Amino acid sequence: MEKLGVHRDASQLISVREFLTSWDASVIPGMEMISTKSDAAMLKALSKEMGTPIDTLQELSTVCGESTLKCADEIKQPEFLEKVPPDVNLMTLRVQRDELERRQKNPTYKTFIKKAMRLKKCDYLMNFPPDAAQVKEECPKEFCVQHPDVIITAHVHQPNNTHLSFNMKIGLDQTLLVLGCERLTDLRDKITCVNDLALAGDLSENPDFTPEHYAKDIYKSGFFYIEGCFYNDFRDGGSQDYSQVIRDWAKEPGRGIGPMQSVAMEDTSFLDLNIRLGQPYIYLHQGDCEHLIVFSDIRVLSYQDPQDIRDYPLVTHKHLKNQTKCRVCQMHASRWMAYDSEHSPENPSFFCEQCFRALHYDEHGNKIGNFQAFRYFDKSAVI
Amino acid sequence: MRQERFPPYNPTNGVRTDFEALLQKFTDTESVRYEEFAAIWRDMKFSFLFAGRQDDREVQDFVDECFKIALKFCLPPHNFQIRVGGLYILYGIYCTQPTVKRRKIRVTQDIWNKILEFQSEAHQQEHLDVEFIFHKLRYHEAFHYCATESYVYPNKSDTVIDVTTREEFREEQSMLYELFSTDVLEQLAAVHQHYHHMKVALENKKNIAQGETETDMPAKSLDVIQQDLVPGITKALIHYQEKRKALQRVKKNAAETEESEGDLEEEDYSVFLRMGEGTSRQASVKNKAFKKLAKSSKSRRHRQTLGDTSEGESPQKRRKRQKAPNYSLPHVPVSMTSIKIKHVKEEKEVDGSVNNDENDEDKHDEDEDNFIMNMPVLDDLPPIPQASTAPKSINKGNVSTRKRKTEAKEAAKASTSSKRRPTSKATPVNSDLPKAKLKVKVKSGKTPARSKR
Repeated sequence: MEKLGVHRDASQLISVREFLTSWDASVIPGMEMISTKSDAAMLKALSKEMGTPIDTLQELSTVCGESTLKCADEIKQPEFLEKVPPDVNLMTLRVQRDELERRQKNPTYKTFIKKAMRLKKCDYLMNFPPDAAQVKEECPKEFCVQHPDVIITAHVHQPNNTHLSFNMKIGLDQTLLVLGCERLTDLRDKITCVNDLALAGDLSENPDFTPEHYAKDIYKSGFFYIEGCFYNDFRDGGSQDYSQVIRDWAKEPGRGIGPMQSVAMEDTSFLDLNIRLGQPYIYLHQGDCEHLIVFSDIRVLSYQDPQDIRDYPLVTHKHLKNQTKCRVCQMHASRWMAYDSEHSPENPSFFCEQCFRALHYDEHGNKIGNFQAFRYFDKSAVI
Repeated sequence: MRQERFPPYNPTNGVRTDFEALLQKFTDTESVRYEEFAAIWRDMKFSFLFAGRQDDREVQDFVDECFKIALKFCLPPHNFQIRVGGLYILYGIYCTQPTVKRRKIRVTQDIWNKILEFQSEAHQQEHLDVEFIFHKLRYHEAFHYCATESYVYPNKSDTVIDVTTREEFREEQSMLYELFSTDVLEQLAAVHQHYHHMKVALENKKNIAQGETETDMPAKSLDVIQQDLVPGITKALIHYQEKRKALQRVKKNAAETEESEGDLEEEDYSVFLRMGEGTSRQASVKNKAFKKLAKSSKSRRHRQTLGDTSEGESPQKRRKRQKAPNYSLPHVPVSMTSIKIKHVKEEKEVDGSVNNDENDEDKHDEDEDNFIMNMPVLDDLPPIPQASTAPKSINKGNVSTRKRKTEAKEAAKASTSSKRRPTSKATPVNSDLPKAKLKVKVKSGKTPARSKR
């Protein structure tokens, strides 16, 4: 492909399959993992690896054990993290003490720091829910992940409808971990966009009518655009090729944009791709709902990641947005969006179910006033 | 945006220093045994490294960054002992991290290969503890095998400060020195000398043929290059280095004052916030807009705009505000000026009491702490200053100074402009002028040069 723009922070082109195969035997298959993580098992594995007898290793393990790193006076965990012990002579701690003071004095600074930190509190709670049982069940054989494999971090951003407003912000919506063996269609299915739930049509005349199909079911086509190639979703018979228009436009002589390809999404797995990390790609669905997709990390799958293939693609971050409240009661989430309703100063306005019925319909269910009403789902309605 | 007021968040300030201290102590023991390392670790109480991090996610962030720093020590070009120390540090941090789920060490292909080489070296030398620790880490799956050292995201380079920028700084300097390294300069000097000798020999041959005495100067017609080429280059390099250091120092000072200024602004803003939104925001915007003063042209230099003197502010604050640089010139290395001032001072102190009444004035000026450059009092100076561009900057310095005695300066300048050569080696020398009446306040706070009325 000629003239494909590359973001200044993006890495060079990485072939995922090559990445996986380029690691040598010390990594794949790595060390022999014995399922019981006891010390004896470890010594056995190490002695095989290092070629030394077990008694030497026993000695070594006491010399190099983790207890050698503990200082004489250990402070318990929660207190440890809150305050900096005064008697330790490390520059890091001095700096951290100043930092904590600064945070306390200046609440703006504190919020700045909280935003600047990489990991968000909501993610932390999602990944380490405090009430989750520590017991991990062994997943059945057929659902176990196959090693070796790669795990890719994909960031999906909020839809950027350029025809509505020109908005250059990259708002992170979700972060997912996908396996290399999975197909692009798996990723597509896991991405939840509120536009998929939109219900078409003015329902003011018959508010009780519930359309059977979400927009997701009506408009099924979509594509990923990655490195000059369109991966279209042709699973359904009626799916269109959204990329046809773009490809015809690009083919015009004199544009300098090279011919682009179109491939079926369901035939491509992540291992087949050549991607750049940090380069924004596009996911298009519903005809005009565009999401930026960024792959930020590729690494080899390890035994400490979740081993159940049914978990993948695994959502590790979700953007939390406040609910759009009903303009009348300010309590419930709004489910109706009304244009030209005389009850509200803004146009369009949002009502919850009860307020909507109460204001716009009389006791017989007749429509009062001249307005248009649409079913509304805001971001928080998406699970 | 609010975020620009604060420096980018770096959770690992000071970690590198601590690691280096630890490694220094480890190399002093001259051993690669783990027991020595563990003893130092316990002694320095390194397991408290994570103290003060408020919650788990902050610790995770911190640990990731620590791994990055420690991993650098495991790679070439460090020597074997440092690499062993780096591995031990990784082990130490991995085992003592207070996270719920242990964070892993990210390695790329490149790094992994280098570590494997290092391990094979250790295996040959039969360092069992080095091997044991490495394999133990592998067993516990402490490594994540990744394509890049850290995650890649668009526009990340806007916010991340790289700890290694200082090294890049050094690299930049060293490229200059690579270009003009000692070998190159020596060779250049040798070639230059050879050339000179050849020219002289040619001239002498001619002289002998004509029966004249031998000379050691080449013919005038062959005198086409600069005579002191190599010394000139070295002087320029030294001057550049000093200039750069001075600039860095000033930048650091400016950054500190700006930061404190930023804090001031921050507090002011919050005061306004409590008062009311609309007007105060305008007021603060206006304040900001008019903080940077317009610099008037050279012809108007005696009437330059002063700093913002808002009422009710202590002189302390005023001084801080005015520190915001009003000038854009390279700062003359302080050492240069201090030399001159010393000379002048010694001279003046002989004259003594005459100037006592002026003392108070000057002390007052000192408080203002302005960077007024000296029009050096000329007879007393060493004939030619060291660096060729120093006088130029002194003259430039005069441009943006506070004006109290302008006539002397202008007169001096006018008379010497004709004498100034392109590589202005000499400072303006005009003994019949009244000695310059301008004073110098150097930031080092030395008593400024006195002038004779």
